[in-house]
Amino acid sequence: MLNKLILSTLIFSVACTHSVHLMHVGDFRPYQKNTSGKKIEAVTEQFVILGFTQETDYIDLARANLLKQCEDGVIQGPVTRLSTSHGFFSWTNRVSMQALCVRFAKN
Amino acid sequence: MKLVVLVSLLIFSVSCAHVRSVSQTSVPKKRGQVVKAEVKNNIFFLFNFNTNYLNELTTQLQDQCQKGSIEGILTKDVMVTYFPIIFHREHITAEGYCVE
Amino acid sequence: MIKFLLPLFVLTSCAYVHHTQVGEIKYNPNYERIPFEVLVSETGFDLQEAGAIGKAVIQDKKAGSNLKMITDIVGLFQMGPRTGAPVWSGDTYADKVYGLMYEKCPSGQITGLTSIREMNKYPVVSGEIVKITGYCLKQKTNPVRKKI
Repeated sequence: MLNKLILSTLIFSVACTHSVHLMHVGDFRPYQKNTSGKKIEAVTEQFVILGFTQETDYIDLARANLLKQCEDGVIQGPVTRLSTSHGFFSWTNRVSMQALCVRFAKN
Repeated sequence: MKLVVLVSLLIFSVSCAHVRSVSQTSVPKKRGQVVKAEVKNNIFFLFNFNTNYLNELTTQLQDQCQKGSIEGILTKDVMVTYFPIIFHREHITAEGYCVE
Repeated sequence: MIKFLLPLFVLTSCAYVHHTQVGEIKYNPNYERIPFEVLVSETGFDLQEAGAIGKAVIQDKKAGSNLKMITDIVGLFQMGPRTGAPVWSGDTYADKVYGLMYEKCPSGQITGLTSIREMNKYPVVSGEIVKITGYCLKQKTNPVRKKI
């Protein structure tokens, strides 16, 4: 009975856990309604084994992806999430950027 | 013994970069000149006695954009561990657009 | 003694702030600032704490040790940087704040934003909270007029 309990606990608990580190919300100028623009999103991640990594370029890549989706408009109200998904001696760092792309808005 | 020393040296020669925070502000339509600022702070044995180096960030940005406003700033705070406990470096970068 | 103290232990909680950021606060005499708050949360589970408590509470020493060993082994599958206790449901629970902010302020005239990443800690479980507070600018019915 104890062995079955241990086995079921192991199977149940080996599922990945996650942790949200921060959520930053930028300013909303120029003020526009949600319906006057298009919601854009960029998500990038970095797989790390035992913490050995020398660069954090995945954030710059997310930023570049976000800018590419709104090349001729204003990016308003950027929401940035930094999180980690845990794993076996490794983890995945993730950054998610959401914003409203408003075209032909005055600065 | 030699193998242990070699493996330890290999492990300690690889740094570990960890992002502590990231933030960004609204990005303007006109994205001309990119301005960048960065500051570094070396921390030995986890002792750090002042945070004045952070004030240089805005000064560096303003020096590059004296006749305009700086918008669409992405700020990244990274902690790099070179030798655990002994030597860390805090690396903060801010990148934005100069709008004149 | 532990059995008598355990209910007291379970009923206590602590609040922790992990991260705070404050944004710009705009002022306009013709607009009033109406405060709003958006809050999303998920339940966190601290497996290591569960193992330690289990080991202390279970009378059978061998079973208690086994439980601690199980949680330590499972902990190897959950390595990585963490803020607060890890959650099981994914890291996208906080993305809802984007839509919720526009629900609270449909005009999009939002200022004075403060984003707070906090935790309400209970034994073993915790509430992992993302809270956004701000002001929605609403035009006054009697705007300020300049005297001629």
